[in-house]
Amino acid sequence: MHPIYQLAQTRRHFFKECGVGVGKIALASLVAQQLPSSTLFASNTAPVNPLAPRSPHFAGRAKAVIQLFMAGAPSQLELFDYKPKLAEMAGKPIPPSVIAGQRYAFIRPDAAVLGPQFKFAKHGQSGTELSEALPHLANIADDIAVIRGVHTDQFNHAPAEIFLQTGSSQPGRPSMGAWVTYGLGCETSDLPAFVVLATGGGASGGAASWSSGFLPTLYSGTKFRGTGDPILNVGNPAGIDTRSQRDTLDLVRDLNQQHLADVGDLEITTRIAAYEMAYRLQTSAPELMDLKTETEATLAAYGAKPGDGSFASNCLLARRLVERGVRFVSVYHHGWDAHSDVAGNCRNNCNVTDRASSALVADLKQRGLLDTTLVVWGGEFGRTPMVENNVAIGRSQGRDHHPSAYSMWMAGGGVKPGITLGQTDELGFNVVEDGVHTHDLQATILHLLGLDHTRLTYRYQGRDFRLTDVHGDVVQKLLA
Amino acid sequence: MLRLTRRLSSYMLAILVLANLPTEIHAAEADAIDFNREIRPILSNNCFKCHGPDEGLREAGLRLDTFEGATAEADSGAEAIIPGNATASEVTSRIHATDDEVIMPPPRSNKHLTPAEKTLIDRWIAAGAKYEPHWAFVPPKKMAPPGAQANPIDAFITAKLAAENMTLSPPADKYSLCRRVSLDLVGIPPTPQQADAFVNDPSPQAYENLVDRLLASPHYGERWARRWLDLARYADTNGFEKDRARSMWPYRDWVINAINTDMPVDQFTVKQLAGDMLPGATQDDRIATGFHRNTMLNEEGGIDPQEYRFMALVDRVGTTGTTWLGLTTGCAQCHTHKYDPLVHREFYQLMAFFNQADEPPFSEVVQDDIAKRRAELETLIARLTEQLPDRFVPPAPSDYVVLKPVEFVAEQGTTLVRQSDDSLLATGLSPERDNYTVSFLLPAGTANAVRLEAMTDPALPSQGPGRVAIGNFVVSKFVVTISPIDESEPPRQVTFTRAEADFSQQNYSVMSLLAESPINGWAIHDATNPKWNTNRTATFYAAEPFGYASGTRVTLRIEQQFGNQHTLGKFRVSVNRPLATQTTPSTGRKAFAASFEKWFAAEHPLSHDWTVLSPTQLKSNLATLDTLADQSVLASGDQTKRDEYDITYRTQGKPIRALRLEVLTDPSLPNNGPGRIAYEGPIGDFYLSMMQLSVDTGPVAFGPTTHSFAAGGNVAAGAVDDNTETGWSVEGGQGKSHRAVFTLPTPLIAGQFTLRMIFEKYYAAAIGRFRLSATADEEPYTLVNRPAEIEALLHRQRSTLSPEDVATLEQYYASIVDELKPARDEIAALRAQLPAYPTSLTLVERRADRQRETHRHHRGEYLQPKEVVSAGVPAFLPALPADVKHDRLAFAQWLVDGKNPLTARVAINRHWQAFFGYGLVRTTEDFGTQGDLPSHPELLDWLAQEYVDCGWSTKHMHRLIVLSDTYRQQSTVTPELLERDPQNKLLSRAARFRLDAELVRDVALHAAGLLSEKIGGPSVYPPQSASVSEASIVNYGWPVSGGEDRYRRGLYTFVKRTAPYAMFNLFDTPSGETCISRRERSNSSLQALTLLNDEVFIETARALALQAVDLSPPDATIHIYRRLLTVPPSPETLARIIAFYDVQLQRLASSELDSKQIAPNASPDKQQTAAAWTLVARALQNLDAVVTKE
Repeated sequence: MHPIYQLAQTRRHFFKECGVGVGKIALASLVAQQLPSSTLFASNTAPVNPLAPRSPHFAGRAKAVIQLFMAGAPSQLELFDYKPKLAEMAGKPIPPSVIAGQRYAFIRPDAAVLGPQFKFAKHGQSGTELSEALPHLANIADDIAVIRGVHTDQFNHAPAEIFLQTGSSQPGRPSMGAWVTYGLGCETSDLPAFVVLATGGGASGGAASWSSGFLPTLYSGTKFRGTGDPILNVGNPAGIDTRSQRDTLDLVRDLNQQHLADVGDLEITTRIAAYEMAYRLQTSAPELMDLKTETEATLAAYGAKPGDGSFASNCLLARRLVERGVRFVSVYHHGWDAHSDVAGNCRNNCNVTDRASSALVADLKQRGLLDTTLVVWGGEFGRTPMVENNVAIGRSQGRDHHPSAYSMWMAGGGVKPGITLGQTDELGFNVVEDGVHTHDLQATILHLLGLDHTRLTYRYQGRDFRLTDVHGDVVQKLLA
Repeated sequence: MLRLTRRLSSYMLAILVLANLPTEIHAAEADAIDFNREIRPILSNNCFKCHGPDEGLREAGLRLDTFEGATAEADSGAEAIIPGNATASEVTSRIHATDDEVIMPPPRSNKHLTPAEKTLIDRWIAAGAKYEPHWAFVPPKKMAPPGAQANPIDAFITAKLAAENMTLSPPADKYSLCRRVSLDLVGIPPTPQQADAFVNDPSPQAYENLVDRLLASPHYGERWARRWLDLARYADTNGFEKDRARSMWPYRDWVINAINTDMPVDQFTVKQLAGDMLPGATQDDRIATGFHRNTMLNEEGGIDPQEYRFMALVDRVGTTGTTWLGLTTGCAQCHTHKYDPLVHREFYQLMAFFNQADEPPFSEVVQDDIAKRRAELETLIARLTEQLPDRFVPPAPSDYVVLKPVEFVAEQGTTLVRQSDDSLLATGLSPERDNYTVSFLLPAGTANAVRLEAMTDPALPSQGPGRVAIGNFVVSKFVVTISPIDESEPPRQVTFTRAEADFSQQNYSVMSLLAESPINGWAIHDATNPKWNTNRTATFYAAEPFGYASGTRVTLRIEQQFGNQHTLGKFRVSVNRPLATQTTPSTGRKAFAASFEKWFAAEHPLSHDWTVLSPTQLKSNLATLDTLADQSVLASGDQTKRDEYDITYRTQGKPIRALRLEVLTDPSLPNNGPGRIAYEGPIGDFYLSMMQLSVDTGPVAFGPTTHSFAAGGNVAAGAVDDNTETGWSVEGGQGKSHRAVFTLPTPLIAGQFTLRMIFEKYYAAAIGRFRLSATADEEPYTLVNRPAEIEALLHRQRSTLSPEDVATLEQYYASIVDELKPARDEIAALRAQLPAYPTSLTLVERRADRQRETHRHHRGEYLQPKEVVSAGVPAFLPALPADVKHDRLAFAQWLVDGKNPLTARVAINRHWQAFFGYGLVRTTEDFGTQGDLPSHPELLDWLAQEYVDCGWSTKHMHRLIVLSDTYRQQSTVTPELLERDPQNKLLSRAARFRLDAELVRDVALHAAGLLSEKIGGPSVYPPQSASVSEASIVNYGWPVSGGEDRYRRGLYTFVKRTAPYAMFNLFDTPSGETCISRRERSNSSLQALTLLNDEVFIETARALALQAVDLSPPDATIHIYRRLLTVPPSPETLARIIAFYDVQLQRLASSELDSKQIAPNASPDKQQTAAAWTLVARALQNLDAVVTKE
């Protein structure tokens, strides 16, 4: 008997005897065949599952990442970075020396200063200073690290979102989630390795923000749908039941195996396995989405109602995904672009996000998952200390885009809890201490996962590309 | 990081490294080591990053990519390489060192040399450290094929196989070959009949004939265009946040056509890079430049437009490098290339070629059929406009007499039945289209109008008056012929000069029936009125009264060719008997003339004396300003978010009491202007946020201000109120000229003054064309509504006006006078029916005196321009001819002049990749030192040279390849082959790999008999879930196409960058955001879900099942199987499929499965069988062999 046919027979036995548990069997010769110069995989034809779990470069603390992406850019001056000086100077133009050379999207650089719109207070043992707009976050102040010195290169939404997610402002590079799954694989084969959830509208950066770029397509984020089946085509077509689907897959598998015996191409084994995984996905996806299995208390803590498609539900889903071994979850919430009424904007968005974001951290902690799950909260840039008022386009009491200083928070996954890192000047305009550039943030996230950002590379167009381009330093002060 | 810079004493170094040095290094025979193949990859991968071409980051003063550099003294005083003496060479010491401080490459680089690599370096140095130029930068040589095979490809391939003691695999079976070559050349598999014809053709020419037929197929261009579009980063949207739709498909169609006509690659190249600059450039040549207009445009609020223009230029340099040179030129954006001899400055020298092009918002693509229809309609509009005065007092409705039909006939099956009121009712069959011919007898005398009444009737669908379900109809042509009853004269057609209807549907004006070949025709649906199913009347006015003394036979021919049962259901005809008082047809014009004179007399005293001012100096922050013959100023060139114009005027004579600013249209402006807004804001509008007037002594204040038009609150006064947030704009009035008058409370005395205009918005918003006039009159601002030239004429004495002047004024008067509004509205409705030309994006080279400066940008950053650079090509490549201007055209011609060592190699290598899965150089995008080496260098060179020698004919090269035995091998992977040639680098078998995404869908559609054969046209939207387009922030929706557009080939699917068509995305179609020369070929469970469950594939399964529903189970199985796979199934396979069919049929019969849901397209009596075959077809569509070329 043809040895490949024997191999197929073995697989066949495996499928027959073990049902559909293809789990971690060898999947694809894909990477080896397509990408002879890939750095992670040997250049041979041994079938390799490109999504099989892989060892990190060194022992990392985090196994999974939940990124709460606050798209549109929340105002750090209303939430995390209290600047009493702004209240003093409110209504006066900002000193020209501060703003030299700065470019803005909408306002003139000499616009007047706008005071903080909320009261701030210190919370927890750590005394982390937070805005009254974040009452729930205040309860977990000792579990998070507030980073006040974040800065980026980009001052428009789409390029800045793509920059944060891929390290480049132009579409075409792999996103962070793609890099992470490329580096570490995935702990489950029943769900996608990298999942994207969103509320409040579409993403400025579009699919480029969760694209695999030049990495194999398999590493792309799978965007869950807001309504209906979470994954496109995961449900059977009308009239086709589970048994018929199983019959179909059996027929496809048998004929594919016959063909494998005839032509000997191991890529066919990959396809056979992909079909079995698809079948598993058809069961695991609805099970994942069924929030009714959560306790009332849990639902209440998040503020989620099963099937409501809310940010709260997405946070809860993120936990369920991580529990099931998914590597990277991006939860987008859009709507922070406060060109007008920054106070109202913060109030509304905090109403939607504060409870659930905080509940997620508490829930992970309670389940013992926080140590191995990194939660990152924040947007693509910050907002100006200056006010945006423009009668002609109906704007008042807003803030424009501000790339040079803003805040984020991180929790779990090896992040030092209860700290506030970094400082901005008295106007909140520039970082004066412990700046964290986007590339530093990326390097740190990879580091927490046990990945060295300088070694997680991929050869493309003759160059070993990295998430952090040629920059980035791990922010040591953030590490627990 | 430690480098050779560390000044260790050589003594210390010796101690450190001695222990690790190989005891003896033998000089290898000089020719035993191939530098390019064995040494350069090691050096490039491990050393060049710090010791390579990039001077800026070069460490230790050491350069290892050249012999001179490697043997020179480094900063430390050591010599890295001493040819012939490995032991004394610093390199040897360093690579063998164990100390982290000393070893090269240093630990932090994450690079390591293997012991074998170290030995190789040692031996190479010992043998003299011979450097050779990088193979790809040396022109290809066409060596004689190393064998007698008819096809040189086979000679090269078999020679290499023979060296490994191997041979080609046996030829593929004929079915496989037929499917393979069809998929490769046209992207559509053969039908079973086509395949059988080939398989059973005993002629030795059979295969060649098949190949030639495929090469001549118009689908060949579609297949190969899609591959080119990957490089062109083709998309139908402009990317980033807004990701708006834009029309680029004429460029896509240009590519299809160019490939179908086998346009030589040199022309194909020159036209795409510089078609606009060719002498006598045609429209097609300009469309071709769309290649580089596929770059993205960021329309997000507040972007810096110049920054994104810069990004587009960066993309153009990178894309050109990948596409034509196989060079990663993009690497030199930020610094000198780390590996290839491309210096930082040269990146910007390449950019300079592209930096002289302007990028108009769109260019119209004039198409003959549209041009003809437009010309017809425009002639009609011109005539109607000219005749407006005739209609000044519309003829009063006169006594219409209903005519009794005497003969009536319908051509396509309608039965017309005369009713008691002399109307005709359509009954019986209701054909898609029909033409009615009806004759009447008109007693002696004349008539001058024919009236058609479309009438409702309870018998008609929705009561009519038409026969389509909703009751509408379309009269597509209306012809009236008359002849004397006594037949003393031959019949003649009545000419109508005017038509009126009491209602015309939008775009279906009754007026269009006056055209010789009417556009659309007359229809009456009114979406805004729920009670639109009512009697409607159309009246056609003859040029002159018609009728004969003996009595007249009147024959009406009513054509209704719209289709889909848009025919008249009931109608009646009457004619008008002119009243005695209506004998003078010029009544209208006379009345008009009288009214005009009254108007002139009233307006003349109110007109003012404006003098057009000539600018003496034009300044702007960036835009190019030119004075035109009429003293207006036209802006062109680049824009910013805050544009400033400073225009200086010098006046003599009377004091100036007011200034009039005319904002004018111009064909060079977006939407014809008058503004320059081309992104984000209202296209063609402007935003004048501030206007300031100054003389030597200081600023001059403005008084009351007025305007002829303003968008909402954005009034002209807002431009002179010292608040930059308010200003003047004309949104909604684009495409027309407007005026504003600014008074000066303190008159401006003669002399010099400067007008400063500031356009500040979160997008670029300057005025495109304007003209300034001055007046000394008092209170001139009350009348700004009329154009300047009308105002000027009105100001003249009536007696001094020439007939032409009067005609101009009359024309203007006809365009405003109330009495003619209904008539004008009809013309406007007709104008709205003018078919639009499609548009495409093109490059337009700037004038020689308007060249931009190009700078080197430090670290590649837009905000860090350094010294100016001139256009030029990299020094390591052949020089540009000295005697030509170094512009885009010269650059394009240089690429394809046959001397460039890269162009032909890179091009043919990509074609090779398309057929064999991988290029002879696997890194098709990188022929530099970091790229893979060619597996068959002599073959690559032979092919490259042949490509040039044959006149750059791609079809010739394709024919050569597919006729080779190498191509015609079977693709079976035997264990022996897997062992000996695992990656098939030796081509010991044919390639077997998954089809491109588009073809996966095309194959299913083709099998189902659904695939549309239509070539070209706007992109289409096949069905997919609405949730896909939700992923982008601005969701423009996904308007699913109907009719055959639902089933067009994949390359016509609308390419939306931020939310790509889901199925293609999953099957590795590039998003159109970057230039891609090598697609991924992934294999995932999400692909499986798509093929199993996606609506498209359910539809194809259902359609395929219907083809088989009347066949016996074995025949049906064979039919479905062969539609998908070409080759007949084996008996074993047949049995397995029928067993599946039986099980499913049984479950359907027992109602466990619902046939109606599975096969809703089948008739009830066949639904169960159809459902069972649908399940079979659905399963078979998922077979690996269906989605694979093998």
